[in-house]
Amino acid sequence: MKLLKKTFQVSTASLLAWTVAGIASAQTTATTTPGVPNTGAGGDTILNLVILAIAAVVVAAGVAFLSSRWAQV
Amino acid sequence: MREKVLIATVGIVTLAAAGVFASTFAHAMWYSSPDDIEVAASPTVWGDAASATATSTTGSYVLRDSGMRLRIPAIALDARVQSVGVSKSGNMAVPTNYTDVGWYRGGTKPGDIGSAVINGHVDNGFGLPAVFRHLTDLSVGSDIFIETAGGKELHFVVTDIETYAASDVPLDELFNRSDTARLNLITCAGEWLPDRQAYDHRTVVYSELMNDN
Repeated sequence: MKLLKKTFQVSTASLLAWTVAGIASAQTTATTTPGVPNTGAGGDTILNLVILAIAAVVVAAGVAFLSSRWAQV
Repeated sequence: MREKVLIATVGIVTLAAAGVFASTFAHAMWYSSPDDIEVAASPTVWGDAASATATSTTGSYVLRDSGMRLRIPAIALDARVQSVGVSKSGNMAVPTNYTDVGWYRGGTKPGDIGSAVINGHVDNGFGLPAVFRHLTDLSVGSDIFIETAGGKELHFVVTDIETYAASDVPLDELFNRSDTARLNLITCAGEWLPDRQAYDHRTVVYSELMNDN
């Protein structure tokens, strides 16, 4: 019986703490100020150009190959 | 048989490369990084989704049109104002493209008492000028206009322009100053940090409402 009572007390305390924490968390979320926005992308210029160049070469080579095979058929 | 396999393989690789080309070009030219736009679940937490007058979707990109326009005659700027929340990293989200600006709808509405915040890109993925490229050309006294969804024009005047290290931006001053009706514009500046995929500074233009007609 004592064990049951103790368990109940602990559970009630946990539930209360959890509820308070939940309310506090909800209030914090609603009023949090966001961080600074990331409003630039120019640093990726070289990487983007390299990717585009490689993709273009692959496409050109593929089309040339397929065209030559198509002509033979 | 071998010939057919070779042709099929080359065809698949060619199509994949064409896809990579198209995707890279589109993202560099027109679309913001997915890491910096609003997370899908944020509208109900961060603001009033009902304030958005229209939405449109391109893939995972949801554009929420606030119905407002931003005009800055001194730098020939006239841009649609998107309504933005927060990104997955907890930062103010950016517009889905490089030509619109983004108003933080979790904060103050332009014209109300408090600090309304609007951001915009400084450049796109090719380093070409984006909507706020010339923000630093403004000076104290420059005019800024917001056309509201209802057709009302709000006139703001620049009071200060500051450039900060990204980690030193005074967030309270930017978002929470509530003594008068303010409009703060923010964009990137400084050097590119490859490891963070971001610039190391931010320029903020502070302005105040001049009328309420």
